[in-house]
Amino acid sequence: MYRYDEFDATFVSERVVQFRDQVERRVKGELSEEQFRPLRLMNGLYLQLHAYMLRVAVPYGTLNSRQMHKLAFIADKFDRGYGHFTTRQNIQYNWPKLPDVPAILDNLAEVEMHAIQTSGNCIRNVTADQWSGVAADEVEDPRPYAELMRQWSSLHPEFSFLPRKFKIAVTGDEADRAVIAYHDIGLRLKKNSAGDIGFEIFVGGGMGRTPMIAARVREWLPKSELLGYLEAVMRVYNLNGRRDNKYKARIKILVHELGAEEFTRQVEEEYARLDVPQGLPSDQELERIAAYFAPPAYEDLAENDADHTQHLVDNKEFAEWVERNVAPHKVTGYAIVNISLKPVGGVPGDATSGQMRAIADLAQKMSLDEIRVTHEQNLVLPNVRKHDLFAVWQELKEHKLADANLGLATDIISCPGLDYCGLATARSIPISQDISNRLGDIKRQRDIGDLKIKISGCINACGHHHAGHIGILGLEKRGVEYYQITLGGSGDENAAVGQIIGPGFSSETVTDAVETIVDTYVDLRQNGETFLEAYRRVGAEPFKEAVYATH
Amino acid sequence: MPLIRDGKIVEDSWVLLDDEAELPAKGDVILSLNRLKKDADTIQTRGGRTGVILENDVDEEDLAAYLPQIDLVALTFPAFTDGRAYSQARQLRTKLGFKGELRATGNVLADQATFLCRVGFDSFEVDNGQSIDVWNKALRSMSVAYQRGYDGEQATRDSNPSSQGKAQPTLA
Amino acid sequence: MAPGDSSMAKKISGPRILTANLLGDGLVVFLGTDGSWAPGLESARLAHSNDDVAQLEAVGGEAARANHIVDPYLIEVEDTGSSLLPIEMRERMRARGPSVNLEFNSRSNGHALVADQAVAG
Repeated sequence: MYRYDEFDATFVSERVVQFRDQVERRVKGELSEEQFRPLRLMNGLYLQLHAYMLRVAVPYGTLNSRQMHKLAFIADKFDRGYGHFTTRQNIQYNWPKLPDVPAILDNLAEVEMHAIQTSGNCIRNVTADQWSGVAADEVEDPRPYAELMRQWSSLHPEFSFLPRKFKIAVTGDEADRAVIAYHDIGLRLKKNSAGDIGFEIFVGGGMGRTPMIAARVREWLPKSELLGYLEAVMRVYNLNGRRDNKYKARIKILVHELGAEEFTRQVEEEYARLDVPQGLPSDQELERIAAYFAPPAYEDLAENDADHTQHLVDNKEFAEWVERNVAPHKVTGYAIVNISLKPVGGVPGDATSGQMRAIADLAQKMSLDEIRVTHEQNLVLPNVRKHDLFAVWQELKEHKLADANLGLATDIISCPGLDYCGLATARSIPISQDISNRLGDIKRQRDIGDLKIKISGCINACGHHHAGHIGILGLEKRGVEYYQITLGGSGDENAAVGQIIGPGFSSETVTDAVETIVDTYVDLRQNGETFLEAYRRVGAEPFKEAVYATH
Repeated sequence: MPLIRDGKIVEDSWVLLDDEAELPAKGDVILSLNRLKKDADTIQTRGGRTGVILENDVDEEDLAAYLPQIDLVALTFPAFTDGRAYSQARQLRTKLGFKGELRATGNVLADQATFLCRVGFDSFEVDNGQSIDVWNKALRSMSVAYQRGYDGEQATRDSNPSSQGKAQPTLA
Repeated sequence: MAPGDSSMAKKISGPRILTANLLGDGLVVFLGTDGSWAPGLESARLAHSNDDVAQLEAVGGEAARANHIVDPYLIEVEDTGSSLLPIEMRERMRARGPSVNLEFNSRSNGHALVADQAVAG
């Protein structure tokens, strides 16, 4: 993975010094809250419902064990012993004190991490497919480009005061595990007809109150031209994006109001008149970054491991975990282990400092020192020898991290909601816990099969409810929480926006409604079709009928 | 309103001229783009330099024809969070090759000093009571920057500050 | 951002109290009858009239300018006689702290749990 050189280290440590000074000026009163707010936000520091919240970037979701140990250390020393992994490959601490934040950032800098631009109207943490570099069917590892974009976007002199926040995601695979269609810019590495690898570029996706699937603006762009093209997109947006209304300020609205064709024309025009060499990364620089992502020292292994095969036969629980949570690796004899942070009835995406340490140790011993964070709020050990899977599973089990529910009904995405978030209108975590407890029986979950339930505690949709097969949106009316249900959303390569099925439900009845929807699917499914396949075949009607007849 | 140039508070010789006011025979004046267009001929014959203040929604191409007569362009920041002028400045410097004074006016914070300098601003009307020391400290707070091809005193990865500039091959 | 803006401007009938977050540790506080800012709302100073409201706003503005607290605003509460219950869901949550992660969060943040019954379920 990428390692800081002196240049990167200087950049991050000077940024900490700068922020320490800003914090001191704020505490002394030399900066007003109004002046300080954008400065702290650009360093990932929010003032939330109950306290400050620090959002730390995990660039493109890649961590090593030393970094994970540091995240655990910070949780214990400066917070309350836990952290929350988010849908944008960040970790959030819920209780830091303002005077401590510079020290937290110092600690992060020690392990080549930061909280730069995890908030504010700037280019946020660039996210990527969590299986980058290891997925069996990948076209190319997108992480060198994600790192390139991380550097390019950090304190960008021109694009740090945009109309609104800006999110970029990249994948190197046909299968989209990075939700690129819902990003301001989504990038996919793909081959053109000549067999050359370049970027397919999508712009203007987003969730929030106006969910939109991104429009394709370029079918194929040479890889080396990426930053130049991004500069053109950003400039068109910075100059023309709406600043009169916060809710219409995202690039999706600009793309929508201009029309994708006109937007694309403006971008291409701007791109054509860029001073071209300025837009291009030097080959040397690309090679320097790419070298860090060279495959680790894989051993030459056989496809199958006899011990592993025996464990599969002997231990049904282990076999079921392997079936759900372990994915094929591009290197023979290795596997990708997906760690569920969704224990039945737990808080989605939360990990205690003890769990973080356990995962860090496992990564060091058995995953070539790598960990990934997923947008579905889970973690990944990307480089596990099949031979080690049983030992990894046992260790995970020890730390309550071996739930075999990846992609199942209890693998719920949930934003922090009104338990933590200052913007939320309703709680989302307790609803996810309730649903998880209701559907938690593993036999039942396995019978239901692939199902993505996603819950947001407000219209901003941090819990990706628009992309949920079953989406839940928490709202409030006269002091009472209620929940809207959408069906048919998807965040994968066939992205779709879920449709509201009807009137909302109380916190007491929403779980019943979800269960009814699930049972209705189980009754009407044919030939092993998944929930989403069944929904796409029959539409919303049968589900509506069942739900509103009984509730 | 104090004016900062070259790290110092300096006298401002420029006067912002109201569209209705008579064009003075001498002295440095800043005009609106409309006024500039209207009085383009008279401007050439008067004593004193001419500047123009651009709104954020003006296409800087509109100014291209007049640039040879212009010694100063002022760009506005209606709020410090409104970053359109960064792109306008960038366009003026690189696309239109403007070499005169580029002034930041409006809601300008010291904490944005490095960004402003890097896109090509070289004078700053600062109205928020922050001292010149705070400004200069902010300007020196980052010695390195990732984006090549922008101005400023920061080192980029493959260049040193003295050779930094538009002629460099760039990462970004 | 500031729910305070709308709350302050809104005409509401019930009693109101002044809340904010501390600048340093960010925790939720309420202005008490003794003029101190404390985590519990049991001893919060109540405003019943427009004059009371103006006074609370003045105190909040001063405390914000003194950089003790951040973003002060008034919230409407119901005075049950034995306790004060914020009317809005958001404010009940602010007053009682998170309803999850109790093993980490319960009471350690000094939050009164008087509003628990109002959000139970």
